[in-house]
Amino acid sequence: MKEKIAQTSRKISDSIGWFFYSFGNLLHRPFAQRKPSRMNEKTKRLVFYILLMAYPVVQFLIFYIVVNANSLLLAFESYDRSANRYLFVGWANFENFATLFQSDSTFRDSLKNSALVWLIGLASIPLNLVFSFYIYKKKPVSGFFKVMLFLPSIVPSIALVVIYLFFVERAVPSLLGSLTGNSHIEGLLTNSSTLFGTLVFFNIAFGFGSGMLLFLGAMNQVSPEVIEAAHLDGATGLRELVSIILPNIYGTISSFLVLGVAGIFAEQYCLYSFFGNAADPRYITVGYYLFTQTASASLAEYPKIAAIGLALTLIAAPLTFLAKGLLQRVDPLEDKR
Amino acid sequence: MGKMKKTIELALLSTVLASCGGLSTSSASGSGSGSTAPGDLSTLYVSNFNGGFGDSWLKKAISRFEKDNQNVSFESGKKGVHIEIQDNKTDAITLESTLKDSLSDVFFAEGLYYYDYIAQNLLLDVSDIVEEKLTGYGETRSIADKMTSEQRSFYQTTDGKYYGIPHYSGFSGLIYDVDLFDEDNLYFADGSSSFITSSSDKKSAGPDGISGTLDDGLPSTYDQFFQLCSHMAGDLGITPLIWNGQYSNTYLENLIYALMGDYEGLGNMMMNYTFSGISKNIINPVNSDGEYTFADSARGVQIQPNNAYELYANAGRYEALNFLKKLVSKSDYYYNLSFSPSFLHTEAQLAYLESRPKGQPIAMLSDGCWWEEEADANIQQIADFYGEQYSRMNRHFGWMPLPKANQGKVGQKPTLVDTLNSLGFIKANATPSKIPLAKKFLQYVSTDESLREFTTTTNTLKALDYKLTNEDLAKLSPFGATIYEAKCSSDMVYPYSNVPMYIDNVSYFNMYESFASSVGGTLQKRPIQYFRANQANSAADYFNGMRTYRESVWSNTFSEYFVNA
Repeated sequence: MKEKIAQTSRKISDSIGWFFYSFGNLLHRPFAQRKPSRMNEKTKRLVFYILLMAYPVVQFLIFYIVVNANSLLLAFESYDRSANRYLFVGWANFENFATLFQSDSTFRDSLKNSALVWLIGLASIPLNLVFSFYIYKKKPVSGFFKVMLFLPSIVPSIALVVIYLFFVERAVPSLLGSLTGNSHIEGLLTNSSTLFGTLVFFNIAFGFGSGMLLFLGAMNQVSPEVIEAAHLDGATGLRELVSIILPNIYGTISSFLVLGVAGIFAEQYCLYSFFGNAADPRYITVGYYLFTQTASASLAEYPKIAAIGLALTLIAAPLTFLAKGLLQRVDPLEDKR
Repeated sequence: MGKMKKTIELALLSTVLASCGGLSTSSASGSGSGSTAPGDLSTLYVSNFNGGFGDSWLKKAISRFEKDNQNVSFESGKKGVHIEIQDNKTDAITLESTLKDSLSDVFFAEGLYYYDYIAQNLLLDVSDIVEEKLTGYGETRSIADKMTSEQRSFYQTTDGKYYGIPHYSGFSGLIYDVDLFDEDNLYFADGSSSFITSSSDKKSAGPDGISGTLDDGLPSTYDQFFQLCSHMAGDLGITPLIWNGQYSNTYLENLIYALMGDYEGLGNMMMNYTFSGISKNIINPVNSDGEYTFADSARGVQIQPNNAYELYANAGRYEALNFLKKLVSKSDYYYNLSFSPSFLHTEAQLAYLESRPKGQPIAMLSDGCWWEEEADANIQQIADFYGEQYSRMNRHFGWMPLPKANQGKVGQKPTLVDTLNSLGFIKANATPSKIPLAKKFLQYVSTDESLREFTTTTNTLKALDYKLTNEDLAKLSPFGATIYEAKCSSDMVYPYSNVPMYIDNVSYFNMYESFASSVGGTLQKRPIQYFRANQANSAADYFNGMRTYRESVWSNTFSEYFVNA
């Protein structure tokens, strides 16, 4: 019976393979029958390269350069409704940033929260490295860890949020209620004293995959000969991690850290997915603040928000370069690179 | 082997071709009925925000319109009409950026910034169909005549043009289970502060102060409302209120805004958007006992753009905040999931509907007037499961006239606040040959017949003036009848104006931003979160910070508008 199933499944997979092969041939035929091109090999390569790159380059120009340039210009403009256009007003919108900073403690709190969230992310990196190393060393159940930790990265974040939401808001109170006999136990996100911790846990636990993938990839690049030599010299697992692996993947770690600094004011911490536009103001980040402000803004309000964005860039950009410079300075293998 | 291979290849090829065909069909037909229009009919695509009000009203209107125009030619070589619905839940900001490329020419949407759309030349001038008397439909009025003066001054631009027509009316408040109230005698007795003990007892006059009306026995003041809640929660084991947890801030702010509107009345409420008028409801800071005095009750305070922050100290706002503080301070008053972000609005409706048949009754729901239409499928399921007595037409829910802040306010005409900013319009770049058809259809859905059909179909209202016939009233669900009654007996606030200070800063004057307060040097934006996190603090603490905060930022934010004022 088993053999028959195996035979049938082989037949099916063969047929699928043949189908795609035949389909490919069908598509190729009209091109194959054409006259030989007059273009030389170099021109052909150039044309191929241009065709290959055109789409991503155009996309980059439109969705990055143009969008950011427009946002930059908006920060110095004001909306003229009668003419439906934006007029240059210089630095006037930046006064709004100063007012906001002075009068809006929610905005000040969001700055603090963004910094806190970044620090928590920073603190979770060692844990991420340890897990990555464990999996890299193929220790017991490392395959299971690999799948479980990476799984959230391939599941849409909104689906994860919904699952987590129901777990912490329905399952946990119900479980605690049946254990304690108290039927009025609030969910972990409803209760303001557990709200932030619950969010932190979600972001660390479900953000593990992307970091782990990068670190694991970098660890796999470390030359096996070097590892073997370390073992011959009697290096233990911890020594291998500290003296061989970490220095060799330092480039990846520092990129991770620098990117974290650059995105410090863009991080939303999944608040919108959890709470829509009604997150508790005490726990919002700058990324969330800007997003919700933009989502409800009118044409005349965009320039003020653009000015806030630009002012924050002026803070984040030097911090990013500073972090990059510091990390380069302490690179353990700098003289060997 | 070869035969099997060929069969599988053929099956795969068919799948690929079928999926290609499927793709092209779905993109052409949108999410409408899916039928294909014969080539000799003029086809029109209509985009519909398919939220709480659904699309059953639109299907009926289309059906009549197609029938009425089967022999009319809107394009050369074509006779008759075919209309396809494109249902969606696109928010107004996304719609703004995708409108021009949409397949649809006619739109029914909500929450959009009308003047932003006009400035970007996204809306077609429809002044002709708005101002034309609807004599062709046996009416004497135009659509403009069916608008309130506030609506006309907003929708008619300074050059005298209209670019859209108000669509549905979306106001929020409290819904109560009339059957439950009847069964448990949850009505106040006449001439006493206690409850009736049998259905034959005479009920109190209710918030309108008139005996023999629909609100008899219902709480007439906030104090009575909380007395009722305590009575339910304490003696009877009834959960007084439920609302959804996912948008608890939004739905409760809708409620307190409704309470504030009901206290302030139409004239005072409109000052929040026009920044002009005389307000007699502005109060001095509230003391720790919750007492206050009016700033100038005799002459009132002259409101202008440069001092409109004074409106954040109106008595209605304080009373509504005090109501909210009391409501959220006692967990016995509300359902245990009402602050959980996992508790969706449709779940709250279902829990409310199921509560009585399950024997764990919930008396009131805080939601919008559209809730019953939104919960239609749930109601049907409950009727299928528990019996026909729980069907939409047999079950009695009612729109609860809001209690008044104090005895002195009992009898004051109720005021409702429509917060949805819903609009019907045609996009500016509509296909020229389709414009006559699009205009005719947009006008058609605002004829009295269509307006009445909208109400009898959805048990909700359009944001225009029209009357139902006795025949129409008989088609309404018990809840729909109370909604219609509420609109007929109330003033309606449409919270917008065409004043530049308002339209340039529309998100600032959004209802949800209007409760910001500086309390102890910290800016608080959501009173519900504040009251839940600071149980010991009073509504007065919060309220007194509202004017302080607004005054501190007012001139910095709006000084450019003071010059023209």
